[in-house]
Amino acid sequence: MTHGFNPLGDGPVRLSTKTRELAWRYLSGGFAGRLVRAGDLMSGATGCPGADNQTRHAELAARLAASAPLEIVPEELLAGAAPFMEATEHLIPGWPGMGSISHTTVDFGDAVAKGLSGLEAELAELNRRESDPGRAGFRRALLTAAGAMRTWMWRYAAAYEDMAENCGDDGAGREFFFDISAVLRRLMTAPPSNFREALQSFWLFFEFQRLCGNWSGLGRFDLILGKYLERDLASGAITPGFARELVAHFWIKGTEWCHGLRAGSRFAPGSGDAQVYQNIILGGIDPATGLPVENAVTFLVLDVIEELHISDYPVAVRVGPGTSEQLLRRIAEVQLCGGGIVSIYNEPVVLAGLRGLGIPERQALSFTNDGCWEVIVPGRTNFGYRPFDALIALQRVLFPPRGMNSFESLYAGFTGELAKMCDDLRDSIEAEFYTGRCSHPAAVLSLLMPSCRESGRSYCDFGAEYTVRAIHAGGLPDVANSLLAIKKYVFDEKRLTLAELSAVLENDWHGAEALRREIVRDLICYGNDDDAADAMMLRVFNDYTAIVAARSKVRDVLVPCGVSTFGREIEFARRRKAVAFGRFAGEYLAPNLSPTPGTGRLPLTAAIRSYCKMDFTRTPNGCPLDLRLEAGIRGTGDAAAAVVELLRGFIKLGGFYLQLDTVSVEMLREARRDPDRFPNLVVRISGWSARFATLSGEWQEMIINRAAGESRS
Amino acid sequence: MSGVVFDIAGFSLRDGPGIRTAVFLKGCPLRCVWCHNPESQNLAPELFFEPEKCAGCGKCRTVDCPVNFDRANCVGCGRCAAVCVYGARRIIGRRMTAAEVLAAVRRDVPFYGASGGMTLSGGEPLFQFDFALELLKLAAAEKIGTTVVETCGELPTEHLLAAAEYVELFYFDLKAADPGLHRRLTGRGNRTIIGNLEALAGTGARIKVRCPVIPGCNDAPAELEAVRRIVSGFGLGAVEFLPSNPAAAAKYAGLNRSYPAGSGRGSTFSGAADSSGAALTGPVSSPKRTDGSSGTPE
Repeated sequence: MTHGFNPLGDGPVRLSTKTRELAWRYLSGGFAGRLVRAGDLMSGATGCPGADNQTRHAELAARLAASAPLEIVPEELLAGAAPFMEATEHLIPGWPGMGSISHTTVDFGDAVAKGLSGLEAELAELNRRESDPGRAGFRRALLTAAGAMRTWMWRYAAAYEDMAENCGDDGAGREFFFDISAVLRRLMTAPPSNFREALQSFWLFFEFQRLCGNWSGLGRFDLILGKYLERDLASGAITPGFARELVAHFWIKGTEWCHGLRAGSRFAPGSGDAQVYQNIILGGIDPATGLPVENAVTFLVLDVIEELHISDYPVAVRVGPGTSEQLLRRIAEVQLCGGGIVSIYNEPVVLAGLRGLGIPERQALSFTNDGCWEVIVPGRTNFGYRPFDALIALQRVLFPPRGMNSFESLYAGFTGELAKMCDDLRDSIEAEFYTGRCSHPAAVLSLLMPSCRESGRSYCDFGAEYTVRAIHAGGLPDVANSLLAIKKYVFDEKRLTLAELSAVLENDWHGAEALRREIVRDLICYGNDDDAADAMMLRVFNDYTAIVAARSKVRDVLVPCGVSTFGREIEFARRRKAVAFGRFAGEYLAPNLSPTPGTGRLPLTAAIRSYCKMDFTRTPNGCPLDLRLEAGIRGTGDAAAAVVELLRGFIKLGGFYLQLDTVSVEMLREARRDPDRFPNLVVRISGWSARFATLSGEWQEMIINRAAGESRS
Repeated sequence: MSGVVFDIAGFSLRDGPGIRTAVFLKGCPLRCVWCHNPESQNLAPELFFEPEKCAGCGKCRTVDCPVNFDRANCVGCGRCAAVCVYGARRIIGRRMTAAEVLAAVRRDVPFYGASGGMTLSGGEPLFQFDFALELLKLAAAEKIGTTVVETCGELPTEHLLAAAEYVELFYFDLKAADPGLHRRLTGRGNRTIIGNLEALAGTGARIKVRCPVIPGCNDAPAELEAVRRIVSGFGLGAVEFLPSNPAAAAKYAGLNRSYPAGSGRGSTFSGAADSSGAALTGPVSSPKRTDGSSGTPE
């Protein structure tokens, strides 16, 4: 049976029918339906009395590894599954109520290259030279976690051997299962020697931390695996077709938690069933060689996404001067498939921002992200962020207005409130890290973090070389548009006083509809490449970034600047009053630094030009632009060539990160009415994507409103 | 140098290769019965009214209207549109200098790459010949991407050939091979057009000939074959036959004109344009008020 994966239309079929069928079963929730609860494995557990949380966590990992149901699907090419329900809920399975860790990317490249036994040897060697008993104890906990992973691998290897032995006369089946078992056994004692082993090793490390509840990003997939595949292809040890099947299985297994349930179902969160922050990076400079990474793995990944339309993992490609025409073209082709699954970074701008933050060159060159697009140094960063709505700072000076008789005094009031909000966030960061030692269980992630192994300290206790809590403002375009309107109608044209405007907004424009209409008709907002509007945006952006940069450290915690909403438009809307540029209270406004939906008068190139007027080295943690292409573009001439030029323009003009979605508003509306016809319709949210049918009604509404408002002439 | 422009559309992917900025100039010598850009036909700026947007606030009745709100004699001064905050009234077309147009085109230079650039469309872009030529010359001098012109071919041959020096690609419409049919459908015969196509082909210019296929009008196989023969006779490549666009009726209503193509796709286009186009610009006798000037919400 042949299934379609992309409601906008499927592309070329390169994968086997068996693999496509497997993908369909996963995406239909066939495997999420088999998730089990680990329950409480902490009470009554034996172990060292009075053990610290890292030791307890490592011992729990051992119990999870020993007891986790083994999920073996006979046709799968990769072994290992993470079947605990609690993990999908961002909890540590077996430890009731204990949250797990996300928003980071450990160093899978280092783990794959060294292998499990290599990590163990490194820990043993570090402890041999260790004089501090606390650090030595921590590393022993990590060794316990490594041992847990070994147990889990051993159980799979044994199970595959059993399956091989039960194959009877099926020689091919016997060989297939023995092969997998042999790979697992080799990986227990040595690093991988070929692509298949490397991919299996990557999957095992990734899956083991998921088994224990964590949600790490994956990092630089093609950099980590490319050398193995290139070598195997050159020697003829593997065919490109089989390599593609292997990569496809990696993608398919990554959807094991996708339940496909509609919002409101048993455990469906509002934000869909595919948001577990497992981002993958492609391309970019290799820190070891200084050369751009682009290899067979890069292109196989894009093939798989194009064919199976799987949105989680979100993929971001680092685009720089060395990016080939061929890769740009493939990115464009996949972007035209819709869903916003593949986005781009402007590598030189990101690197400049990281340098400005004091990150050494080689580490900067290794950058990945935390799961969406927030830039981090993988394997060395404990990451979190503090989001806030900058429009609230403006509301604080407008409701009620406090005797501001000039635009400049109003603006000064706004930046003062903005600074206060940032200070409050810094206080919360200080409280998080300096009101006691953080003992949050993180042994499993720490095992995969070189800096935790080296320092002998946990991920949450400054074991990561960089502890980062970024400040992220949302709503900046809405602030700029509001200020533009206030300046024009209150202070320049004196159409009404600030107090009158404040009352009108408090009243949600009631009784002032003609004025509201006039403003909507005449005010040119940010996003139209208008000098005046963009100058206001630039002013707000520069002042916000200066406020954050003025104190970019809270003791040892790095506090870089970022801009984000991530879909928080919904949460923000509840506290928002009407705005001066003609919108009602509670409307969904600007995502990230993208123009406010409905304010576009010119096509999306104007939005890119406006956005690119900012200096994004001032937002080293990230500042995305997300835009929509009309689905109809797919039918025009060489649409991919046009998208390539769009990407090039974005890079040339100095953008930071671009997520392009290709979608039809009509299809979104139809999918809302009849979700069963569009089970795998993928939509851009904001730096990540979701399966539309699994979003809550509120989220669906936000996506539809935004898409409709993004329609430009 | 200035001209009347009714739209500048950036990020256009349908008006030539690559990412383009399409500049739509007002004025056209033809009155095609299916025309989906009727706002492009007259040279002067004109009022467009969308009754569904009208809130009946009555503000438009408060302005000093030079024709005393007689829509049939509207001169497009724009006073009523200026006070319409609901966007029900707007003026189509504004006078712009060549420098202003070029400034708008220049903004997308970072996205043009090797194939994109400016497309002059309309209307018939060379109907405002001096202005169009100035735009083409300026774009060429600045090397702003590649330049495309979409022409109906009904213009002085010397204008077409003069423009050709600055144009990388022409989209050239040939709407019917039969002269009588052409006249009935567009208000003009096709002798000049075919002659211009031949002359242009003779210069070696890059030309793509297009023919809109209108059901019931010019879609007879013999007619389409005749178009093909003419084009191949000039050594040009395949004709691109375009489907008709049935969504133009609302635009005619907004301009206070009747839709000459009747009820749209599939209908027989029995109406014919006259050579002056007067039948298309006069008042309509419609049971539904279309000027929205009563001050009463509809």
